[in-house]
Amino acid sequence: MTVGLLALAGLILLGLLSGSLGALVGIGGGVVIVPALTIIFGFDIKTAIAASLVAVVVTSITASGRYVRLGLVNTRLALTLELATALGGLAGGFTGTLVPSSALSVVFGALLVVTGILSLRGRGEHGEYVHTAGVAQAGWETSSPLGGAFWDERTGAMVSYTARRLPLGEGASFVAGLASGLLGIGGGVLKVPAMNLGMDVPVKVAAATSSFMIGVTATAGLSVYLGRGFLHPAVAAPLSLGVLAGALVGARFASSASPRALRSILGVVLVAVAIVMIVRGVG
Amino acid sequence: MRRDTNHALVASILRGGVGVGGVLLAVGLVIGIAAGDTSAPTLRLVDLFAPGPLHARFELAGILVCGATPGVAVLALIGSLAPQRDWRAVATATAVLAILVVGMILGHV
Repeated sequence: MTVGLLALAGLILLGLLSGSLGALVGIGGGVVIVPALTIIFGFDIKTAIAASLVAVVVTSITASGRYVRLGLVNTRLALTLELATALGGLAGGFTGTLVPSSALSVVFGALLVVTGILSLRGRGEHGEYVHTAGVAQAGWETSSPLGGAFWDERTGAMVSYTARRLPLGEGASFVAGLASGLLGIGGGVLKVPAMNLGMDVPVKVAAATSSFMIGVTATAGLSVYLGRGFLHPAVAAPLSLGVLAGALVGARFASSASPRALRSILGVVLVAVAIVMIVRGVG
Repeated sequence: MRRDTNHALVASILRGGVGVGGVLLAVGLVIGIAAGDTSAPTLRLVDLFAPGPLHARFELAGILVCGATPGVAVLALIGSLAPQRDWRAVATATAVLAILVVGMILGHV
């Protein structure tokens, strides 16, 4: 396989676009990257998934470095859920390398429909949290029960929370890991609602914790694709560099852009792409 | 409640990983463009020091650094949770790390 200069520029541009979108609307790049690599660039879906997993890892370590510093990542919660997610990622990775590419296209298309609808619906805060006086620093954590505190810039107060319904979160995390390894996505689209709506974790902490987790999960899936010979570094490298630059650009404009409008556009695009993926998979 | 003293270390590891990995990826890309080499072979872990296009090996090295970074971050968490005697979290983190190692080994078998 060869990647000419035009394709190289296209891969960097795709990474830039997905990295910016990821920073602006809080999604991993996989739902954009995998369809683009298969439909526009004509790569096999397994090559696309392997390249996407590299981009997901880069997205995760770029974003979560900042979140960890701000004390928004609950590391104990991340580790607890990651046990299920990493197992799912590994299982998904092995399954993904074995099933036919056409079946993967159909499954990916179905996932895009769900993601598109979730993007159109938007993401609101769920649950009520205690504003705590006397907690000096963000990033406090409790181990039993799992919980913590973070600084809420919007209200200008320290907020404490407790994670509930852990088995539900672990179940959703396993499914998210499976989807990550199988389809080359981050899985945040499943993990964030599971943590926020299912476990009563504030959405800021859920998004930051998920961002940290997807790097570990994607690594589990990536190791299988790497070992099975589906990774083309010359495809993944320009894509990842684009993602890196896009994440920085997106973060710069995150405060001025309208996430609601972007999410609506993304939702419509994802549903349209989903139809193309399903038709290609079935055909 | 307890404050994790490891947050700064973990954040540094993540930033360092993306920095080093990003540089290796960029160097590989530049070498490929400068040499006019448009080949995009599949590479496995064992191909890092094997004969092959130089640009692809630099790119693989960048990918490996980025891929190893979350694992190193988990390792740093183990190192900081152990002095706090939070053995449940230490055991969980160790199990996560073990899954990553097993995945790497099984993937290459």
